[in-house]
Amino acid sequence: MKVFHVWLLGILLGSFVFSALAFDEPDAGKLIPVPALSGPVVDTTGTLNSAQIQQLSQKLQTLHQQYGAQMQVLIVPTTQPEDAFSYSMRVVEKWQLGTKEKDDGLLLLIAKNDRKSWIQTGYGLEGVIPDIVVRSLLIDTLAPYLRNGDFAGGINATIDATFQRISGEVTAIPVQKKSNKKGSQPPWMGAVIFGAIVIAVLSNVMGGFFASGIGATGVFLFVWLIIGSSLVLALILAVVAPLLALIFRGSGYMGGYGGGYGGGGFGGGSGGGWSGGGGGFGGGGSGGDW
Amino acid sequence: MIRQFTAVLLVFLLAGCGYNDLQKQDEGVNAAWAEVLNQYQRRADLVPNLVATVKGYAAHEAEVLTAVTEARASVSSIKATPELANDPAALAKFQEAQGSMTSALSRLLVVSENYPQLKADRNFQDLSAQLEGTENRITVARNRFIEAVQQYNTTVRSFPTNFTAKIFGMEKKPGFTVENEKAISTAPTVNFEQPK
Repeated sequence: MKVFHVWLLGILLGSFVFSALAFDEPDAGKLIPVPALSGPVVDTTGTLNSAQIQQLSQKLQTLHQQYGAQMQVLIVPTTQPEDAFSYSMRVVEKWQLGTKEKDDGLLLLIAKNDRKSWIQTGYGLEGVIPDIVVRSLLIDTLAPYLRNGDFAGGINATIDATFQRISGEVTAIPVQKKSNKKGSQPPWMGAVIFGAIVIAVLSNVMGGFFASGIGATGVFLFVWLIIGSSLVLALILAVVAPLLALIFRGSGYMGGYGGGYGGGGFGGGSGGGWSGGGGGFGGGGSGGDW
Repeated sequence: MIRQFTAVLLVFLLAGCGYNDLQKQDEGVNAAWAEVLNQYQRRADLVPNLVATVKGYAAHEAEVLTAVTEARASVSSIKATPELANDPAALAKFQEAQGSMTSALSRLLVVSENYPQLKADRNFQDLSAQLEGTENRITVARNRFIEAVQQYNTTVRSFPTNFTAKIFGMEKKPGFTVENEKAISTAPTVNFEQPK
């Protein structure tokens, strides 16, 4: 029996490693990787000095607080073999700038050696900043500075011009931190599933009976007092949670499900709270060169 | 109370066999398809203005202009419904029409390179910027549709969700095929084949 378990674990681990190898970014070796989102200004070329990065970051943070829109600057040496559009598309799909509700993210990409720039506008900003405006921002505002080698000045002017448009259209909508989304599922659903997972995990440590007791009490109190559902429902859910934990523990594929979803959301507080909020991009924006 | 309990239990049983995943991914495919249609429509809407502008400077390029107008007519003759995505034959036809539109538009842009006055026209500049943006959006929407279909199909065919899919009559969906994808997703700014 024990041998069988080890064997099964081996297969599970093996298939996990295999799937991770097989499906994680097939061309990752050839394409330029998307850097980590360390702050509002990411410069992998070392063009900007730390004071300039500091200053621009501060500015973008302030504007983000004031208007909600999240603008990001990225400077890379090159986007080859991809064009600026394809690369920046991958970047925004990974970073998910802007909020999930408003899709108000914006990426300014500068590929230094390619002498190409690109702005990606989130769905929510496509109306405020149409592609034609983006083109003019890049060609009329940014390019003259870049031709003189003044990257910080060009970025600064582009940020100003961009937010001039945003502020004209959107009058001071303060940024909301993680508003609780009302999904289609009732609020107690999450509580029960969470409770069940806690029980499943705890019972490895302290035995099933004890863990079930703690988990069930927790679910009961949470559903009854905090969510404010009826007493009957809370009692039922307190019973369901340990049962569900049994199912989770019994079936190996607890982790296998829901893999495709997730995505952003848990950005983690890197760079002083600067992270994407799940904003969507559909390829809006335009490019320029200098 | 018993009924409520059974209902809750049933919800979790169904969730366990992937019913929710299937529904979610089915909706995901629908949403992705709607975006594809939306962006193609946006392109089709640009065509009349673009043709009119080009005509003002290059009226004798009749062959190219007619090709674009005809392509637009054939695109709009296909009823772009959400159900289209479930019918492989209709989807192939739709792709073909959009593909010929793409190549007609790219030829139009190549031809317009020969007319400096046209290229300097403010209206034409705006329209071609919009067209370029729309082509980019089409590429993104198509890729997301392909991904959504792939994810859905994987769920439909994997164990144990394939049983759930069978029970509820959810079948594999057709996606965009690769050869057509090449033809369609070639952006018009990229130099296309020489017009004969």
